[in-house]
Amino acid sequence: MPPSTHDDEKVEQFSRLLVANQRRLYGFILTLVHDRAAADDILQDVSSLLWQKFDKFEPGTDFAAWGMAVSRLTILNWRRKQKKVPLPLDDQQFALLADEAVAVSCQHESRQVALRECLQKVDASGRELLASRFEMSRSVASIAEQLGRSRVAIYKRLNRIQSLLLDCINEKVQEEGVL
Amino acid sequence: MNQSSDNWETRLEELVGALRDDSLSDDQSVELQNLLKTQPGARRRFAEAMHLSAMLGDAGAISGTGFQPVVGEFTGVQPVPHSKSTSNTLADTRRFRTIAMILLASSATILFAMLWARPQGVEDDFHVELFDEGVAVVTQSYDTRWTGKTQLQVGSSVSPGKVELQSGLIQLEFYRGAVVVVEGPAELEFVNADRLICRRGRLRAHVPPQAEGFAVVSPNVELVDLGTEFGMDVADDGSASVHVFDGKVELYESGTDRSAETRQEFTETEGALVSAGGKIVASKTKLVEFVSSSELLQLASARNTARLQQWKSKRQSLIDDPRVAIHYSFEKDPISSRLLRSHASDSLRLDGAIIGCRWTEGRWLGKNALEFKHPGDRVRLQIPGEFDSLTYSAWVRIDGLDRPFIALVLTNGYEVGEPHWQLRDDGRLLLGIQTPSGHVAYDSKPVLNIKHLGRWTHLATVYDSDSARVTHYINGESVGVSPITTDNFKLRFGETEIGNWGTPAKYSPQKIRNFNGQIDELTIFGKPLTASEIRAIYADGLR
Repeated sequence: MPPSTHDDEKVEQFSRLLVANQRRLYGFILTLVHDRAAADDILQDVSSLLWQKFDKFEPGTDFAAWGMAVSRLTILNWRRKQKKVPLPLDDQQFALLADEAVAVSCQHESRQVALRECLQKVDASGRELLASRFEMSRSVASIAEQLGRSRVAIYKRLNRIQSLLLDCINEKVQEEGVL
Repeated sequence: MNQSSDNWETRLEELVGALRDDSLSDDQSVELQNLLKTQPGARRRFAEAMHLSAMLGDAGAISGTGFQPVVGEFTGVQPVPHSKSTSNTLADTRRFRTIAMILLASSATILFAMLWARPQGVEDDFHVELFDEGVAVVTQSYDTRWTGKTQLQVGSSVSPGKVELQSGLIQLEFYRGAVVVVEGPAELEFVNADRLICRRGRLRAHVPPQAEGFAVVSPNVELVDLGTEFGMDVADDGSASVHVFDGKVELYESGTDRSAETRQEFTETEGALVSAGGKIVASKTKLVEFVSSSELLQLASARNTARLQQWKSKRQSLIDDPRVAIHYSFEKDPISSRLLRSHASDSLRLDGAIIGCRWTEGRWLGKNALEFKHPGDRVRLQIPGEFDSLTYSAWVRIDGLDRPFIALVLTNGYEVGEPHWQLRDDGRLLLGIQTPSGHVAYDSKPVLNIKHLGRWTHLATVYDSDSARVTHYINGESVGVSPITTDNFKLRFGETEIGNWGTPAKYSPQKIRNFNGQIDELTIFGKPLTASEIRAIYADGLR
C-alpha cells in the first residue's frame, strides 16, 4: 500500500483517527492480553488490519468502537494460538470481560484527565516509583534490588498507590457524570 | 462468600499486580478466574485496573504531571489531541501536528514503526530517595527557633533528614513508639522510625516495650535502648554523657557496628561519660538536667494559657473594628450549643445555626472549634448588606483535601453578586464570583499540601474593588494576586453556609463540597484589608 499523492488525504485521515484512539485501543487490548509486549504486537497487527480495511470505515462513525471490534477478534485468535496464557478464560468469560473493557475504554478521555489530577495526590516518591515501574518498564525485582527493599514491600506500595488512583479516578469520572 | 467488599478488591489488585508482572502462579490464576467469575463488580474493577496500567505506561503520563507541559517531544505522544485538560492542550496539539507531518511524509511502514516507538527509560533520572516518608510526629513544642529550612511545629510529620534546633524544646513521637524530648541547641538527623542521629544537643527519651531497640547515634557513642527512659547530652566536641532513669541501655563505640568488644550495659540510675576521644566510662553522677515529657507539657500549657489570653485581648479590638461585617470566634455557647454566636456589633440575626458538626478543641487548650466531618455538617447564616470589597479571614485545621471543591463560606445557590470562598483539591484557595457578566474564578497558586493537613492554618482572601485585584494569603503570605476586570457591582451574601454548600432545588443534584477539618475563627470584613493587616491577624492568632 504505497501511498500516492492520491492517498494522502486518506493517510492523514487514518493517522489522525489512529493517533487519537491508539491508547484507548491499547488499554482495551492490555485488559484482555495481560502482557505488555504482546499487547504492543497486537496493537500493531490491529492497526495494519484497520488500515487495510479503512475503505470500509464510514467517516463519522465511531472509529474506536470499530477498532475494538477488530481487536477483539484478533485477541481471541491470539489467545487460541498460545500454548499457555497466564489467565485462561472460557469464551463466555472472555466475552463478559471484553464488554467491561469496552465500557472502561469508552471513558478513556475522562479517565486520562482524572488520572492527571489524581496523580497530584501521590507524593513525589510514589510518582517516581510508578514512573520507574511503568514508564521505564522496570521489573519490581530490579526496583527492589536498587532500593534495598523486599519485592513484597514494593508490590504492596505499588498496589496501594494504584488502588488509591483507581478510587480517585472512579470518583472523578462519576462526579463528571453528575455535574 | 463472607468477605467484605474491600477484601476482595484488595486481593484482586494484588492478583492483577502479579499478573502484570508476569509472576502469577497457577494457584493464583485459578483464584483470579474464580474471583472474576463469581464476584459482582470484579470484572469491572479488573478492566479498570488494567486500563490504568495501560495509561501509566504511556510516555509522560506520570513524570509529565507537573504544571509545565512538555512541548514538542515526539515520544510524548498523547492520544487525545483535543483533551479537556487546559494545561496540556497546546502541547498536545503541537505533538499531534508533528506526528501528522511525519506521517504525511512517510511510507506506511515507517508510519507504523514510529507510532509504536516506546519511550526508553533514562536510568539517571531515577532517584534513590524513594521512600522518603515520615518517621515521627511533633507533639509538643516550646519557644522553638530553627536554623535552616526545616522548621518543625506541633503536628508536623518528620521525614528522614537533618534539622537544626537553635533553641527551645520539642517533643517527638516516633512511629515505632519512642517519645523524645529534645532541648536546643541541637543537631539531629532522622534516619527511620527507630534510629536518630544526634550530632549535638540534649535529649530525653522514653522508650515503651514495643519500641525496644530504639537507637541514638552520636559522633562517639551508639546507644541502643532496651525498653527504658534515658537522657543523653552530646557536646560540640562529640563528648557525651548518658543517664539511665529507668530500665536498661547498651552503649557501643560509634563506627564499630555494635561490636561486642565495645559493648557496655547500664541500668537504672547508672550513667556513663564518653570522652571526645570516644572512651566510655561509667559514672554515677548526673551532670545535667534533662527535661521530661511532663515538664515540657507544663511549660507548653503555661505558654498556651498566655497565648490564649493574648488572643482574647486582641479579639476585643477586632470586634470593635467597624469594618467587620461578621465575626465568629467559635466559642461554645454555654446555653445553646447549637448556636454559633456572632460577636459582631449588632443583633441576634447574625448568629449561625449549627447543623451536625461537633464541638472540639481549637488552637489552644480552652479554646473551642467546630469540627466538620460529615457531608451534612454545616453552619447556616443569614448575612445582610451589600459590599464593594470584602476580606475573608479564617483559622482552619484542614484534615483532608478530599473533594474537588471544598466549601469555606458559600452563599446558597450562586446568583449574581454572590461570592464562593472555597478550596480546590489541588491546594488552591479559590474565590468564585457570579458577576453580571458571568462566573469569574480568582484562584491562588496550589500551595496547600499534605504538610498543611492537621495543622492550624490561617487563610485569607481580599477582594479589593478599589485597586481592582484579588489577593489570597496563607499564613500571612501572599499566594496569588489576580486582577479584577469586571465592571463594579455589589457583592451580597444573604443565606450562606460555613463549611458546606446549601444548594437550592434548581441546582440539584446536590453537589458535595463539605469541608473536612476544624474552624476556630472566621471574620468577614466589608472592606479590603492590607497585606500588613493580614500578617498582623496571622501573627496574633498564631498558636
